[in-house]
Amino acid sequence: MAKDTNGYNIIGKPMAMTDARAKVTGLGKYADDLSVPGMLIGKILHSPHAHARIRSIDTSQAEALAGVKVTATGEDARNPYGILPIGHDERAFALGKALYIGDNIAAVAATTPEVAERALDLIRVDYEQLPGWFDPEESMKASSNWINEERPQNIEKEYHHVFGDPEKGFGEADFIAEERYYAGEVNQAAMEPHATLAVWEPDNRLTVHSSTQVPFYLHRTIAAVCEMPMSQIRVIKPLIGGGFGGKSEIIPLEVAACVLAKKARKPVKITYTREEVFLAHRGRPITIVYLKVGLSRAGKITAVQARVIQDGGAYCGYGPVTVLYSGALLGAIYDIANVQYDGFRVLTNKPACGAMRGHGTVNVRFAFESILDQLSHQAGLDPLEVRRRNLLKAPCITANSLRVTSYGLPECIEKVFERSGWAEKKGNLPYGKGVGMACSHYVSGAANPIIRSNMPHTTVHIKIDRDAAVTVYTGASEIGQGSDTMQVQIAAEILGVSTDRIKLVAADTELTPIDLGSYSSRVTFMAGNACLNAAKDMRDQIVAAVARKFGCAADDFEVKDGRISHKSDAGKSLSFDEAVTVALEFHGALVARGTYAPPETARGGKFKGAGVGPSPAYSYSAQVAEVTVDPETGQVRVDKIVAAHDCGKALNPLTVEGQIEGSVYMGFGQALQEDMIWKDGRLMNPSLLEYRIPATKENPEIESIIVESIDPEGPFGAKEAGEGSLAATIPAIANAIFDAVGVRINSTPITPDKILDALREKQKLASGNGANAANKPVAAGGRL
Amino acid sequence: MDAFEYAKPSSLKEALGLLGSDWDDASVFAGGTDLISLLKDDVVDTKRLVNIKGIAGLNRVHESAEGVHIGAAVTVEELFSNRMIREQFPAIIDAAEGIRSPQLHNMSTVGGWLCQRPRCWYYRNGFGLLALDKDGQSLVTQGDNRYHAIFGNSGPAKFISPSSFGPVLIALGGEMRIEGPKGARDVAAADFFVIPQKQGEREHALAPNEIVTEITIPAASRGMRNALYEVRPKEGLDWPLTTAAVALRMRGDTVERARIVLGHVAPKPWPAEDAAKWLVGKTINEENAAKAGDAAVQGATPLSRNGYKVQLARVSVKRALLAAVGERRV
Repeated sequence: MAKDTNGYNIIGKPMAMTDARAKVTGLGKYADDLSVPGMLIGKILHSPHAHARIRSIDTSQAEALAGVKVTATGEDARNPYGILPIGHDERAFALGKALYIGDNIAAVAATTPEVAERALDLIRVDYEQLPGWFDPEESMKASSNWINEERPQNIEKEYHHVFGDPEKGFGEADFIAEERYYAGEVNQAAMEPHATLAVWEPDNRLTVHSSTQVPFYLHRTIAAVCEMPMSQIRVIKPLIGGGFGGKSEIIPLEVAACVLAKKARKPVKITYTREEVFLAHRGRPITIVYLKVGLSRAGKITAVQARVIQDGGAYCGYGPVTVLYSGALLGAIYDIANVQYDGFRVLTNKPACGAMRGHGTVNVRFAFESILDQLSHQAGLDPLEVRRRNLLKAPCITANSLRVTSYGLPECIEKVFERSGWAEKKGNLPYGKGVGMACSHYVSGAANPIIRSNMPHTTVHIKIDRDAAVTVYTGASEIGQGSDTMQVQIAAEILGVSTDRIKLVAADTELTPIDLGSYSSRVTFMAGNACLNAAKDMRDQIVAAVARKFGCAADDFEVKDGRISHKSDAGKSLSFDEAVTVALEFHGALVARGTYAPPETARGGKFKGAGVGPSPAYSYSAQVAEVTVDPETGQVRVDKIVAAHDCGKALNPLTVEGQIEGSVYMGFGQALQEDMIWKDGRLMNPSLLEYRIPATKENPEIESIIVESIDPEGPFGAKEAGEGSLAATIPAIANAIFDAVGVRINSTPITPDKILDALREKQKLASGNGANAANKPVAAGGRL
Repeated sequence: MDAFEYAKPSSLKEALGLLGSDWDDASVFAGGTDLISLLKDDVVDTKRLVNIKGIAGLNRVHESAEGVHIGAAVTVEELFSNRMIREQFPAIIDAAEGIRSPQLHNMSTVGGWLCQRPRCWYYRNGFGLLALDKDGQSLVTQGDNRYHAIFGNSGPAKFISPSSFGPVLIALGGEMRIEGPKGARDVAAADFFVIPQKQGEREHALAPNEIVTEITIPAASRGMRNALYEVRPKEGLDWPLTTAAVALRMRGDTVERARIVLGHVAPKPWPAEDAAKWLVGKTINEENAAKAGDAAVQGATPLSRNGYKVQLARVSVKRALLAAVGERRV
C-alpha cells in the first residue's frame, strides 16, 4: 500500500471501481445482454479442415429454410483487414482457402438461434484438402504449399538485431549456459465470451455494440470491410467481462455481424460459444526460445543470444509486434551491453495468436529468468544477488535505445527479499520445498502507434454545464482494469470535487474523442495524462473566471475541497457550484480538452523494428515463489507468492493490488496448468473443463507489495500496473521447483509427467556417474 | 443442441415406458451435469429426456439386513453429508470430496456418478467413443494420449472410466439394481462396467431401456477399512489422473482380506487382484503399501505419452492403503 498520498484528496486512496455495483448486482449490460426489436441471431460456419481449398459454397438450401433472413460468404465482403498496416490478410469469410480448423467460411442470420444452427448444417462446402503445417520449426522450412503465398517459407516476419558485441561478451564470460525453452500456447479465457450486436439503423447507418478493447480500430475496420464511410458508423463498447488482449484486435464475429446486418438491413447479434472463443483465439503463441547467456565470476551478465520462434497461427494479427517485443524487452530490465536477437514469426494452420497480457515478453522472460537462475547456481552465487549486480543505472538509454526514466526494480527486489524470508529459506528448505525468484517488466503503452499517424494517442474532453456536473468524455476502454475509475479520480482530484460529481462517458465513437484502445498497458499513462491535461484546462478556466470576478490574478487562487479560494483573502471564496455559475456567465457552457502524445525522446532507435519496445515508461516487478513438490507424483503446490510491483504511483491502490493478483494468477495458470493442446491443427481441449484456468482452490496466497518510483512523466507519477507482474511468476515457480527437488523444467506448463521424467533422469545420472553427480541438476528442456 | 421432448414421469413403470430400444430414443436425466454438456456439444443427440427425479423412492439412503442402500437419485452432497456413510465408508467421502464444486455436489446424482460418459477428448470432440479414423485405426494411439488408459487398452477402447465412485463401489463389493421392461436385475458393480469391443457398444452393462435405481453395499463390507486416493492435475474441479480405492478386512494389524481397485487407468475400474492377494497376512506399513503399489501396476501397458500414469497409479495405491489404516476425522 502507498504510504503517503502527498496531500492528494483522491489520488493514492483506495476506491471501489465505478462500475462495481452494476457488475456485482448483475444489472450491468454486457454485449450479449443487449437486444433490440427485430434482432436476428447470427451464426458462423467454421472450417472443419486445417488447410483446404474452397472449391464452392452453396448456401441455397440454408436460405430456403424458414426463418433465415440472409447468408454471407467471402464474396460479400472481399476487402482484407488486419490490426497492423503490414498484415491485412484476414477477410470477413475465407476467400479461396480455409487456413485452420475453425476458420470462418460463411454465416447466417435467422430469427432464432435454433434456425441459425440448422441453417449452418444446410450450407454445402466443397473442400479440397491440402497438407497442413502444424509445427513452427517444420513450417518455416516449407518449400511449397505455403499458407499465404505472399509469405515464403511460411515466415510472417523475421528480425535480426545485434547490439554491442555479443561475441566479445561471451569471450568475457566465466560461465555460459545454453538451453532450449518451450512455452505452450495459452488463451486469455476471459470470463465474457465475445459478443457483437450490429444494428442497421433506419437512416442506413450502422451502430455496433461489441466486446472490444479497441473501438477505434474496430470502427476503421468495419468501414473498410463494409465499404462505408466511418462517419456512417458508430461503435459503442458496453461493459466488458475481461479482455487480456483477446479483444484487442478485430475478432471475426465483429465483421461477420456487420456484414450480415448490412445485407439484411436488420440488427444482428452474434455471441461466441466458448469453443468459438478458443478458435478465434489471439492468445499467447507457442514460443521456442534458444537462449545463450554469459555470466562473469562477479555475477555480471556479459552477453545474451536469443533465437525466438513463435507459432503465430494462420494469420498475421499482431505477430510482428509480438516477436519484436520478445527481442526489445530483453532490454530495459537489466544492464546488458551485448545482445543478439533473431526472431521469427511463423505461420501454421492454427487459429491466429495475438497480444495476450504481457505481450511478447512473457515466454522470453520465463526463459531468461530460468537461465539466469541456472547460471547463478553454476557460478555459486545467490540468484537474487545476481539480479542486484545487473541493475540499470536509471535514468538511462539501453543498448537497444530504450529510454528508462524511473526504475523501481531495486526496491522491488529488496522488498521481496525481506518479505519472503529469502535469506533464511533459499537452499535451506527440506527436500520437496523450495523458493525461487524472478523479475519482469513491461511498457506503459507503446511510444509509437501501430497506425501510421502523428495524431495524439488519446484525447479527453470535459464538459461542465449549468447543473455543475462534470462530464468526462474519453475514448479509453474500461475492460475491467479500472480505466474509468482512474479518470474519474484524476478529474476529481484536479477540480477539487468529490468523485460523485464526475460523470464519465467512455468508448462511444459518436460521443467520445479518439483513443487508440486498451492494450500494451497504455491507458493510465496516456488517457490518464490526457484526462489530467483536460482537467487542468477546465480548472484554469474556472479559476480565471473566479479571479476575474474578484478582480484578482488567477495565481492568487487555489482549488481545494470543493471550493475555489483566494490563498490569502478568506473572503474571496466560492463553492464549486458558485464558481461554475460565474464561469458560465463569462464563457457559456464549459468545454476543456487534453491530449497525450509520447515525447520524441521516448520513441527509440532508427533500426528496422526499433518502433516496438519504446515506451514513455517501464514498470518493474520482482517475485519470490514458495512451492511444495511431491517427488512421488510430480505434483506442485504453490504455497505463496510475494510480488512487488513498481507502478510509479498507485493512483488507486485497491485496483493496483487487484492487477498484481490477477497477473500472478494468470502467470500461475500458464506455469502449471494451462495449455492449448493441438493435434494436427485440432484443439483437443476447447472447454473450460479441459483447458485448466486456475480456480480458487489452487490459487496461491499472494502478498502484493506496491513500489512507487514516481515517474517524471506519468500522471501523478503513475506507470503500468496491469501486465508487468505476469511474466515473473512463471520463472519464479520454475526456479522454486528447482530449489525444491533439483530439476529444471524448461517447458510450460510444468505438469507432473515432466517433473517425474526429470527426476528419473536425474536419478539415472546420479547412479550412472557415481556420487559426484548426485547433486547435478538436470534440465528437462523444450519437449514438445 | 437439437430440440427434444422432456418428460417427468412419477413412477418407475411410466419412466421405463418412455425409454426406447435405441440409445438415441431417450436419455435418462437426473442431475444432468454431464448429459446437458453432451447435448450442448452435440456429442449426444436424444429425442426425449426422461427426468427420473420425480420418481418416489429413488432419493433415499437406508440400511437393512442386506446392507446399505443408496437410491440412484440421491445427490452426491446428500451422500457426502450422510453421517452413517461418513463413519462406515470414508472411501465414498474421499471420492465425493474429489468433486470440487458445490454446484456439482448439489446437482449430480449417484446414478449419474456411475453412468457418466468418459472425458476422452476424442469422444468429446465428436470422434466417437472408440475414436477410430475412417480406416478403423485408433486416433488415440496415433495421437495425444496423455490422459488415456494404461490398462485394458489392447482392444479398440483406450478411454478411461471417469467415475471415482465406481472403483470405491467395486472395492466395497457393491451391487446395482437395474430395472427394465422385464423387471429388476441385480448386477455386481464389478460386472456393471465393461470395455466396449466394437462401435455402438457402451462402457456399462445397461440396455437403452433400463435404469439404475439403487446401489447396495453389502452388510459383509461393514467394518472394512476403506479409502480412496486421487492424484489430481489440479486442486480445483477436475477429474483425477489416477485413483485407487481400497477396502481391507483387518484382524488386528494384519490384513485378512483386501480389495484394491484402480480408477482412471482403464476403460473400466481396474481391480488389482494380485496386489490384493499379496497383502493378505501383511501389516499395512509404508514398505508393504509401496510393494502393493508396485504389484498393482505390474502388467501396465502405457501408450506413447502416458507412461507417467503408471507411477501415479502406484503411488495412489500406496497412499490409499496408508489412508485406510490411518486415523481419520469423521
